[in-house]
Amino acid sequence: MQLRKVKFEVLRFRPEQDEKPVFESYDVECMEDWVVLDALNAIKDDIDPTLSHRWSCRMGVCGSCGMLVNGRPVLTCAAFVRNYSGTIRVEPLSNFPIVRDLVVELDGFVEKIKSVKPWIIRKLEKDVAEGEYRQSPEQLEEFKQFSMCINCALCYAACPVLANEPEFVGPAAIALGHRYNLDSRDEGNAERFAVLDSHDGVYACSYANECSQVCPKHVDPAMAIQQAKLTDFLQWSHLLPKRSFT
Amino acid sequence: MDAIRHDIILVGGGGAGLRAAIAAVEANPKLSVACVSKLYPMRSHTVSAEGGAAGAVREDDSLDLHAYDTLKGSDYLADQDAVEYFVEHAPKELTQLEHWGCPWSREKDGRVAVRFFGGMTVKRTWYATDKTGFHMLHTLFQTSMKYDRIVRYDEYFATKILVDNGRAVGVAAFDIRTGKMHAVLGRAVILCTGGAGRIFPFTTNAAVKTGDGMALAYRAGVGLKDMEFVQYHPTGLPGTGILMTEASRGEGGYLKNNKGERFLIEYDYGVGNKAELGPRDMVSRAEIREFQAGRGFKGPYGEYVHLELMHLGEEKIDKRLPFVRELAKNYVGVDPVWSPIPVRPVVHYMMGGVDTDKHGATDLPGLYAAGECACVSINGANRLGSNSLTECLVFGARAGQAAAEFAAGSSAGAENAPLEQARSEEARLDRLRGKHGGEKIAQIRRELNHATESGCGVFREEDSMSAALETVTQLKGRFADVGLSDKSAIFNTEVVQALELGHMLDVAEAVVLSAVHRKESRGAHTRTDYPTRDDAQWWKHSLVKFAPDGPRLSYKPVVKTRWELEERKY
Amino acid sequence: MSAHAAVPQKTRTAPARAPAGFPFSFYRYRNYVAFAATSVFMAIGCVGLLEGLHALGKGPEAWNAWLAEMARPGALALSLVVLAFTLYFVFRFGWVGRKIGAGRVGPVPRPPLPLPVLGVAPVGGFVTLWLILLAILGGVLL
Repeated sequence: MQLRKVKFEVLRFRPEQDEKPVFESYDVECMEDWVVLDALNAIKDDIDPTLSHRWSCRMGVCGSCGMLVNGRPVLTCAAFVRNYSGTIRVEPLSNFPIVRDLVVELDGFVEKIKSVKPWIIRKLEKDVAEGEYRQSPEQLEEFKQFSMCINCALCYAACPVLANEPEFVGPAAIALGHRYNLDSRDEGNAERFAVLDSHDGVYACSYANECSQVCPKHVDPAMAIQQAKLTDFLQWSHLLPKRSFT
Repeated sequence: MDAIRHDIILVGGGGAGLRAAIAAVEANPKLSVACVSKLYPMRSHTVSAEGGAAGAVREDDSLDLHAYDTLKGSDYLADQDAVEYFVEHAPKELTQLEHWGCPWSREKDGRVAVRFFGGMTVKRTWYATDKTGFHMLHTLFQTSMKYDRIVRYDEYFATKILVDNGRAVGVAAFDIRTGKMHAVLGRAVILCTGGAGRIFPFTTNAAVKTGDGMALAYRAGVGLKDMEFVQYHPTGLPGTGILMTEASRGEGGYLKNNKGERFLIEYDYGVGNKAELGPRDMVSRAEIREFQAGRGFKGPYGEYVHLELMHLGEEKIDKRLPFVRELAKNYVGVDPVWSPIPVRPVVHYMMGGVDTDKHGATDLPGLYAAGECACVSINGANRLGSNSLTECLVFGARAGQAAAEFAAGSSAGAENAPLEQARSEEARLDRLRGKHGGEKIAQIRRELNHATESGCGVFREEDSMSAALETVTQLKGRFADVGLSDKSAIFNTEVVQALELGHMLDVAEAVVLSAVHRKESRGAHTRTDYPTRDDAQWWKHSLVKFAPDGPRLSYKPVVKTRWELEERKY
Repeated sequence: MSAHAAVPQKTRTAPARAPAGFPFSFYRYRNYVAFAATSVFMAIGCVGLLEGLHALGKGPEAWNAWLAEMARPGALALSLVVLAFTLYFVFRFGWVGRKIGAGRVGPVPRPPLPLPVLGVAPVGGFVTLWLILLAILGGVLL
């Protein structure tokens, strides 16, 4: 298998010694089928063990390894080195404060996910002994796509609104809230209304659509947000009831 | 250092951990649960599981049949009382998860759909397309956010179980972000830290599967049971080791050699008419035998066979196996709708782990364990696919409840001794950061991987296992002289890697030691020098316990209730 | 609530950076900024239409005077610019809005008309009015 020497420019930030982030350059011998994550691990293992980055599953499902590669938010475990020519620039996700090197602060993101109450809310719960709630394959299809989010936060890195309004609830959180609103087993969209309808909720979105462009799992959060806007407007104007279905 | 106080301390936030946390607060709403995890919980390795979770719900199924399939799959090493408990609670747990919003795939009438899986006599595997673990984990994580009494400590790395007066009273854990060590104290501790596939070089497992909880329990004096039983999953992508779910065979896929034969039918590999749905250990062995007979395909990452899905058609693949299609296209450049996928046996699961009873309790009072890191044992010498996701739920819930009962009945311990231990851990961590030494982490890790693969592959024999044990012992010595470059405190992942490597060395030692001494073949432990199962001498669990001069190996009996031992034929 | 969230900013962080290529270097962000700018031109267009409506109400001399104003080359050019931006807005709104056509809205099944049409109708009306005005100014109508 062929080896190719590739230059990586990686943004470093060591709070105990760096005033601000600075680029460092590494030459890495890459195999043909490597992804950018493989190169970062090679740097950490054999060139510069002080590089800090997050990763885990290396198959695009855990959401840990989101970074900017040549300016675009991608999962580094799915960004193939062979698809890039020249120097490859790796930086931590935009729109998030940088904790260290390629690691960003995600606590705010997790709090936003929690704020939309992403759990089944029902007036009366069925007893487990009575079996499952019946849900047809068509009903499952209605929200299935929005349940595929791996919480990688690439959509937050891409969203131009978040650059100026960091309090915006954001694409992943709204898509998740919408997922539960659409789930036939849920009765809680009145509970989610307050957050989704707020100043930082769905109406902060101004149709950039960049979130859906970068989403690695084809969740299409932009669609979820526009659907949520319409639902929200119809509910706010009382054309649609808030307390929903059984 | 101030103590962080809660009632129950959970280490690990995956399927078992989150289920245990919810079970504990539901059992006793007054308890507060700390969830200490080195990852954000939704990153835990449960997320990669694909195929499904088994639970007997159909009319043509029964608890006894699920139990029998599991027991036979385990090559009769599973404890029958635990298996009975497991199959009884499986349907309830899966239904509970459905009530919490898990998007199980459905039949037309709205009931949950089930499919065939390896070693299962009837269809009983619940599934959410082919991303079951992902949906289960996210459902659990999102549901856990409902409870204010579950307090998460995300990206905290536990380095030691704190023991006082013969009881587990908490963990020393450092915040990876600040580098600061904390004593997280409570009245019970539950380990849900997963397996240790990363001791091997070729594995489906994520980076984080380094056997941390197993090592922590081992160092606290608890035994590691049945460590020699390592599951090789038959269908991993060459090179990366990425998992091609068993569901691809459950939906009708074929395994073919370089002559285009479905070798599991063509030759006698013991799977009978189950063919591709034989138990994993048998199918993996069959593949290796095909390579040895010259009927494998040769590639840059070793030999492989073909997983053929073309005859299923694009519609079925997109509906039932979309993730498989995506992974094959991205990582090996193959579209399974048109071409066969290259696959080979890959390390996937540890049947062994922290010795617990069927309530998740270890023999250290106050310490519990559940999920892959524990060995109850329901999986014995070989696990059936789709039993482990259910295991996380059933025993995660049981351990959570048992820990809650224990905590309610015990007093909070004194702080002095545990704080002292935590301070020692802080000093140990400080010494490790930027430590001068001649050995490199990556080098020791590579040599460890090489040793485990050569000693504990699919087929094993005395000499290579002994050599591997020798190597691991040497590596432990060399690890004492490891050198680190990163002296910083803030988000230092090099020191995390060093701690993980220390854990992996302990776990690997237990694996190879148990393996070299078990002189029979059973389930996933196959020896060319002892090729048959020997119930008279070896129908027992192995147990490895820590001692200052080296690990001690002993054995404990298997629990039998209703089923007699049989020859394992399909 | 996680312990982290309770005490944010536990270590010194570097400030969050804006998305790479925003606002003008990356083509999709450029398109987005143009889309956002359409609001300015649509506002100008609305002011013009209001003036015309006011003139219509004042009587035939005022109306003819206003028409003559709008027929001057500078004003005509501005009208065309307004039209271009408005059409771009409609196109892009429709393109993103087509997604709303899928799925259900709460408990109510999808309405029979495609939702993008419903969404675009008011703006379509605005565009139609503006096209009629240009036709009048150009002497094609009236």
